[in-house]
Amino acid sequence: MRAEHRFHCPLPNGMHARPASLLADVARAFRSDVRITIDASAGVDVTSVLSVVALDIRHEQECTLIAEGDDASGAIQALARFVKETLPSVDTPTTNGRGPESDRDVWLSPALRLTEPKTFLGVPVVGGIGFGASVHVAGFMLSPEALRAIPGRVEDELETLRAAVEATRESLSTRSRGSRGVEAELLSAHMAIATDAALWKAMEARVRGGATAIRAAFEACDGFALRLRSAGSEYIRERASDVEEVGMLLMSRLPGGTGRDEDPAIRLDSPSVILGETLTSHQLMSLDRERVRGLVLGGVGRTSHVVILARSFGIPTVVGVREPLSCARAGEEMIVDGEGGRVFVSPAAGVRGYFERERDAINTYAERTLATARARAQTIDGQSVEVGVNAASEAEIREGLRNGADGVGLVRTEFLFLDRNAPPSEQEQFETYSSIVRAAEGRTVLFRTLDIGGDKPVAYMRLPKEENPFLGVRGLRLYAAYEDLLRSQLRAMLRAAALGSVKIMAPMITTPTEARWFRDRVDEARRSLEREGMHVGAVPIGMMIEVPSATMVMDQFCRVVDFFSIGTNDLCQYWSAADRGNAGVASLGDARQPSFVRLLRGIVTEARHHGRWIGVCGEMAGDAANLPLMVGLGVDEISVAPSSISVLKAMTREASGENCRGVIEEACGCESVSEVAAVLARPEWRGRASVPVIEPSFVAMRSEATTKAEAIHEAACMLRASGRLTSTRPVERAAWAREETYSTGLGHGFAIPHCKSEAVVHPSLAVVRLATPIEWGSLDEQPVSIVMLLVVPSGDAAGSHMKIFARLARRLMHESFRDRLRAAESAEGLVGVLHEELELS
Amino acid sequence: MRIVAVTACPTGIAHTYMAAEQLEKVAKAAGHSIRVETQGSMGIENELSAREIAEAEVAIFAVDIEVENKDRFEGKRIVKVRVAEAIKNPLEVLTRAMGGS
Repeated sequence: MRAEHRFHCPLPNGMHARPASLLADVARAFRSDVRITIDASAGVDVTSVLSVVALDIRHEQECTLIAEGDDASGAIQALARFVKETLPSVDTPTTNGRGPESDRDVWLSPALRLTEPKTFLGVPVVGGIGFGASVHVAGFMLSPEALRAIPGRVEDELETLRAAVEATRESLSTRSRGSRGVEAELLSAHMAIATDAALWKAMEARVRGGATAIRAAFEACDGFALRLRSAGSEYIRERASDVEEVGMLLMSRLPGGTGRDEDPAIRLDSPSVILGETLTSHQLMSLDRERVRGLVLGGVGRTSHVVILARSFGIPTVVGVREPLSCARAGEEMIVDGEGGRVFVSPAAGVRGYFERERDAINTYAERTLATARARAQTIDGQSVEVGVNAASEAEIREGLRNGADGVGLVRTEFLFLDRNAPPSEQEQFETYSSIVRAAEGRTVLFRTLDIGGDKPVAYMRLPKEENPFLGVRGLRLYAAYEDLLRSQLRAMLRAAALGSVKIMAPMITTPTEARWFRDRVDEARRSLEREGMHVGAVPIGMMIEVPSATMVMDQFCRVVDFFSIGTNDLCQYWSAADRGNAGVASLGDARQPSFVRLLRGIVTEARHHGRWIGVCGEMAGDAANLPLMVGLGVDEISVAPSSISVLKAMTREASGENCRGVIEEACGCESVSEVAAVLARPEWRGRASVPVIEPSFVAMRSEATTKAEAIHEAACMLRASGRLTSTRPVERAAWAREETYSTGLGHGFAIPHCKSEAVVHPSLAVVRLATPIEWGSLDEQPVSIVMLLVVPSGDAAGSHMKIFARLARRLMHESFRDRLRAAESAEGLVGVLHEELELS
Repeated sequence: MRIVAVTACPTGIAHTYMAAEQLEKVAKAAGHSIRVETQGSMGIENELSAREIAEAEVAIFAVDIEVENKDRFEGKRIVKVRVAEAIKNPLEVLTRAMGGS
């Protein structure tokens, strides 16, 4: 039997090792041979990750999967589902705002230039500042001994090679069990490469051609790496280092390598900065994370795995450094400037102080954003909106929490039931649900019981053959025929509830009778647990709102359930009688149509009237453009994908609840989707939150700075610590450029350095009062005691803030104003003077 | 005496306005009437009308860059100084502007 599936590669960076190895995993579960091709040729074996990657499949390129065997159609079905549902989200975002080599910033702050520091240029790829002693690391190459070695019998060399591959696979497998997230995926991608059939063939061929095992391993990996480097996609080119890493792992276990049967590890005794032409991700992972303070590398690409890992560990990294090993001797003090892309060796005290100040500013800001991300999202007029994460795995929950999720708003439990031959046991379910509850770290987790129907085949359930599965026996309607399954789910969920805060809801409820029936099943499950000696606390029981008829009897449901969650995807489809997947009617099913907004308004009003919690878990909630609707409706919560959380929270904080209610009124009065969209696009939903130009934390009342450069840097760092600048370096540079045309010292002991820069997020003013006056080249040739740094975003020519600065400039010409600034006794006092004199809002 | 002036510095954030403030201060103190147009990052503010320019006896340019719409001042006696000069020694600039009438 033969089956095919055609698709367009959804990955922006092309089909690289990680997604290729996931695809291979899906294919391996079937007996059929599965190949993938991008043209009329037979293509390559999908289970050979290297071969798939070497195909160099680009974004949007058309690919065909071909399965041949007795389970070909099952294989293609599974693969098609994987391509549609999982593949698009496999890529980690690699944007770090850093450009290519041409971004090398040669500029060195005058604060540093004076000491003539020993410094090297590179490309910054992971931000932050690191301090440590240098540690040298060797790269991917054959040692002279290995080159000279004489091969033994072909069979012996092959056996040695086989053992090394097995040992490497074993080691990777062990380590991947103990890791998670990016690390875990990386290890499994490398495992796929290490055991790749095409790689083995290449190594075997070389051994038969007379090479030693270690030479064969090196040359085979080098060969593949070379092929990857000639790929069209930059991302795939940089995957070459993945193959080299695996090569190093193999080589370390072969005669002529380190000789020890372990991964090449590096021992660190103190805070260290790693120097090397290359560094493998395995080496990075094996290091004591507390002690790695910075990475200085040569030929490593911006998107290579080691950089992705370094970013996830928060280790400042500079790449593209020429001959890194000759930059410093082992053990020399180093500073890695991940912001500007520089490395400093044996820095003088002044250089150290400069970077310590910056590092402190960066850390302060990081702590603040973490705190705000985690804080509740509240509108300007005090309306709170919970933002939860929709999840089906621990990884998604963790990502959601990192982005500030207030809870897990939807756990789609069917993932545990699909694609298997027998249902999961209660114990297996309990273990999965428990790990989810634990991963939520105390936040509420909302589990939805099994939501399937005739459209999704389940091997162990005899689902009815229906003409119209979407209007058939699905969701809760199925439970009566599978009560045991439901009971095992409910028992497992109730047991997991003991470990945290849990809510349970059922999908596809149409009538209050069904809701009561569900509640009774929960009570039965609870009683059965209590008979076994387990006490189960109160667990709120709720329902999805997705069937339109249910929306007309909300009052009746309120007597039965504790809460509601609106599943806008299905609700809208049923409401408009239009299938989302059908291009012919897609526009009819748009959730922004006025009738749907009126429906939602009605639902929420009823729920509120009866004091019931109500959330939204459909795609509509995740679309930032609809945020004003969500706020205006007054729902308690929206639950969305991990990546949308921080944006939605930030938008909520800028919104005015009252104005959003106005948006709802207007939307309900519109006559089409486009009219509603136009209403949403207007800025009226925002409140008028003015971001102040100056805050007490932007004022240094008694600075020890002794040079102009130090004072400007100190002022910039205060702004960096509050997130007013995305980076201090460009602002410093722009302020100095301005300084060079002529001095900003306007006399009377005042200086107003100022600049426009892309690194400025919001117009701001920082004030530094100096303990010791500084020479500034002022107009009146007097030293300066008060420095006021003014920064504005580039491109923002007009704006009320410019008026403020103009006013400041004028007021500074008056002695009375200058006196008040000199006399202020505290940062708050000084800010107060500025507010008054400049009429700040 | 009736004076008009234009101030303009490259970044247009601060010095433009400081120069304007200084000139206004000293001119008023000396009993003259003065109108200063600033050409800064907010664009042209307090733009001088053709009439104001016609009625003035002198125009002061405290500028480090080209004055916009300079043709308005055709035929006018212009005293041109650097912005820094107007900030540092506004009285001297004013005296220079007054002398020679």
